[in-house]
Amino acid sequence: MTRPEEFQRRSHLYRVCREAGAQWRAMNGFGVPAHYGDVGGETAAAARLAIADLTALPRAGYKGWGMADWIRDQGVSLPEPNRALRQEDGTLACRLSSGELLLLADDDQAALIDRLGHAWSMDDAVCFPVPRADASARLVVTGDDSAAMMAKMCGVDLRSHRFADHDIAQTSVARMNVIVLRHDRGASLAYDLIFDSASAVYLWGCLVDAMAEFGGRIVGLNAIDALRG
Amino acid sequence: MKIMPCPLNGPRNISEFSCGGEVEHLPPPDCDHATWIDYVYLENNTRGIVREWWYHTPTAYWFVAERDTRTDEILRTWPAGEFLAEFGERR
Repeated sequence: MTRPEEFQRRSHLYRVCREAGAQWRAMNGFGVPAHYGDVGGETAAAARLAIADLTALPRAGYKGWGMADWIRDQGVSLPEPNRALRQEDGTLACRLSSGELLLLADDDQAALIDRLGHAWSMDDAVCFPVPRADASARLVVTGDDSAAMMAKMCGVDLRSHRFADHDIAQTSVARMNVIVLRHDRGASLAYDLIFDSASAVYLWGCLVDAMAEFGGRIVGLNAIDALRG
Repeated sequence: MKIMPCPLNGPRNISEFSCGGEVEHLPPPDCDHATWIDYVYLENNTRGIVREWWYHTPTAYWFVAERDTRTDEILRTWPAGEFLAEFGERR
């Protein structure tokens, strides 16, 4: 059986997920929770209300006054600040301000993120890399009840008719600074949360507590992949 | 709950922000100690309309807000770049 300790990279949440009964698979050098022993039930729960740890998925950030010009030169299409735009290879380019970009991949095929990592060099830098892969954690909240649950933890109105797919709110969630990205999976409402990885166990606990009244579940990546179709 | 209209993020709970103090003229580098002390440590504490630096913590974003200290009403906000372009880089 695959165990997270067999991998060099682990999410800050691996102990929490292990105690919840996670069954692991390899991704991007991490051991990630594939499921918790009930794939069918988890997939059904993901359409109602569920959370999953996506910390293993590749991501990167670039920041600086010259970011926009440099990133366009690399062939990236930029959205307006606080919006995300899907690139040709599927990577989401999330513009956090005029001079800051966050790149998120939804699987371990992170061609654009790898290419930018090789293209950037200190010698001719007009922006600098932000260590998102290591310093940030990424969770997802999915399902019809996710907006109602998030309303317990966040002052920004995230309801689907007010907060469109690929909108971004950089705000306070459970008193933490969190980047909230609405990123629907298939027809299912979903919010990705990107935040300081050192507080992942705290925020995970807050989410588990908040979703209890709605009957939400912890699910593995297989259930999230099933939503994406 | 008090709401701050952030130029980057839109209207947000004031608890997401920190005040960075009044916008002031930077003294010339060769000014005397009393002028530097006044600039660095002493607040004007104006009763009326002031312009202040504000910081949105989740985005690490600095901007300028115009506020009436008598009513605590926020009248206007600018991105830092727009403010400096409008009022000069030494304000």
